[in-house]
Amino acid sequence: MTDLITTRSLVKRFGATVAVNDVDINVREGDRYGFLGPNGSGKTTLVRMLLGLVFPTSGEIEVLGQPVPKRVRDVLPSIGALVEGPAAIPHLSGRTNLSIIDKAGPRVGNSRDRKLRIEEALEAVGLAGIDRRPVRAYSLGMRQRLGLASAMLRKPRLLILDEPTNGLDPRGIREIRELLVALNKAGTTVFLSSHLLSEVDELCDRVGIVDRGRLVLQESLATLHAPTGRVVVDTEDPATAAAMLNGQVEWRDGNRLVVRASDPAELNSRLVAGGVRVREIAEQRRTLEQVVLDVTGDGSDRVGTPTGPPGDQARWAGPQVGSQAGWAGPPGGPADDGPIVWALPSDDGPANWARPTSDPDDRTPPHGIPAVEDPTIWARPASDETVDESPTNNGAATGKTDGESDDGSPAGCTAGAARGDEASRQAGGESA
Amino acid sequence: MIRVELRTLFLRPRMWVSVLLMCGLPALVAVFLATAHLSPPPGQGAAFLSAVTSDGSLYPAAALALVLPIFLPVAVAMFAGDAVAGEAKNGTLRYLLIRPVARTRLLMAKLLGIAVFVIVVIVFVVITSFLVGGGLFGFGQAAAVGQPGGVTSLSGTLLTPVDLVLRLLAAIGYIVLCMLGVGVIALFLSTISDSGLGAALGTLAILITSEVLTTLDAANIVKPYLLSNYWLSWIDFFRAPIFWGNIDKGMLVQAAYLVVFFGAAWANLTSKDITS
Repeated sequence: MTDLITTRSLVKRFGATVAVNDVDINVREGDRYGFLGPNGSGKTTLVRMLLGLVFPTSGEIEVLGQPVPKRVRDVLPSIGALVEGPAAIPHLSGRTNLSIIDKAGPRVGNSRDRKLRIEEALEAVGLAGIDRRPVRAYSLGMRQRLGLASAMLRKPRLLILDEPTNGLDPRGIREIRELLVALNKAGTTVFLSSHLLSEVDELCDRVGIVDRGRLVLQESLATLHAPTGRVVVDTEDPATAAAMLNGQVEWRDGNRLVVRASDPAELNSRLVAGGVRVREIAEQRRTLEQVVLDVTGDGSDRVGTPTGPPGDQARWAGPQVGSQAGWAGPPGGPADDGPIVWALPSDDGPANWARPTSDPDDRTPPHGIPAVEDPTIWARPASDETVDESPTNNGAATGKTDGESDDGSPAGCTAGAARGDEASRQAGGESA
Repeated sequence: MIRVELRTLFLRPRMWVSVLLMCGLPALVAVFLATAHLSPPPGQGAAFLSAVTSDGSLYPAAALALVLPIFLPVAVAMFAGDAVAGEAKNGTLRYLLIRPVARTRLLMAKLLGIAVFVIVVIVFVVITSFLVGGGLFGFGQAAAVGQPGGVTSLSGTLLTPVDLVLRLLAAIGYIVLCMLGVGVIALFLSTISDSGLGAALGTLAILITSEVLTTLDAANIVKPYLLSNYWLSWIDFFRAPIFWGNIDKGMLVQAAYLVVFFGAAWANLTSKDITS
């Protein structure tokens, strides 16, 4: 498999700001590559560099085998792109806009092909019946579709899409996803940059996660979703089960147990044989959100968070969770307001936002990231309200989780996470 | 890209509004002159105005003299200031560049677009003012007898219609060059600013400085190099024989402005990060 996009030690500075810092990505032919990161983490700058719009400060870029920006004009005809939202001349119709952008560049085919091409592209993105209305009158979703039509107009080998589903409704998002999958099956490589986890999770097969200009992880999604070596059991008889599996139970909340075991079928038959009524049993897998929360820090659109020295785990991990919730967490979920409170500047000491409680039974389950040193991450979904009430001994909790981290951590990056935030950054870099 | 630029140029409502406004001013002046029968005495007021009441076919020249000092440069500055900045603001600049259109080519297309804009405006002004002038003041004595008439030049000799048309074309060419001098400054500022209005206002500031200094005797040293110093020299095309001295100098000055500012625009755009 050939690499369609390769960057080596890519750096871009805007004045004193480092937008992209030492990034090495590689996108292989046939990939559906998801480039994921919080707002302001340098995604768009990287996309612009790939297209020769922004010149790198240092480092190398190779796209379709040619050096960029030096030979970018040779490769751009085989690339379709959507950069930071669609754009069109507002007083002209969508069709006229497509024809103008098509005619502006190097000639491909005669005018008959051109018309045909435009109609095909419009049809593909669901704008076939579009009338002569000016783009000014289009809805956000229609503009987005028009932008996609423009990107795929000349059936490019590589599609570089920056936030392609912006402004689309759920049905539209699904349509575009299906379209992209179909194009990918037909041989188009898709590079998708997004801050939407679900979008990347459902469309892509490889992800690169960028944070504050650094690539912290590049991995296939299958690897990230690999089983964690635990099984989640929902049972009517938690006490019996816990007694039976003594030593293997890592966490318990009411009827739910997290058990260290590799084979749920085997565990199930054991439990059933022991008279435990199992309601639900499943292998625990990491979600993309958990992976991202582990490897990234604050979104840079958050201002005023303390960034303590790397050695100070408590100072680091506290604010991290709250701010991530801002972009990665489910909208409206408990993460939106709760943790922010204790993620705020911590001048009065770590106790303020230390782990909410030391009682193991109150803790939310480990998300299959056994190695996370800071338990506040786990605490997020379940018990925000307890946060301010029960500041507690961080050290004890850390000790506990350290113990857990000793038994196998599945994915490459988790080992990094074990050593705390700073360490995970490095680990991500290595695995990239 | 050049064909696309011209196509979008003619599809722009703004262009036709400019043309309309530009044709409106001379028409308005003509109506006042015709109804009041009070033409300024020879030697005062805008060039040709004293002559047009007796011969309408000179009115296009008078119309050009009316729009040239302020109206036309303002329109050109607005138009050219928007050339790159407007695309950037719209977001279409990045899509043109990744289409790909080479940055140099884009800039050349924009300059050509400005030239075409000026030509179209001037041609419309000439045609409408010819019709208005002819309609309101008649086509001179010769035309009244039904023969191809002669027009009196500024030097008092008679010009044949063919001669007049040639001189008019030459004058138009000279004016286009002068306006390109304004346009290229606006184009340069347009590659710097992301706001078309900002670029236009910057150009106007330069233009006004130039016009103020032109009238200032104390600034005689820099006068020959000022942008607008030789603009009105196109009138020399209507002398017999044509007085080339100032026209030549004017063309040289405009060419220098063109080269310098187009070079600056090119240097800026080709090395710039497109972050719009």
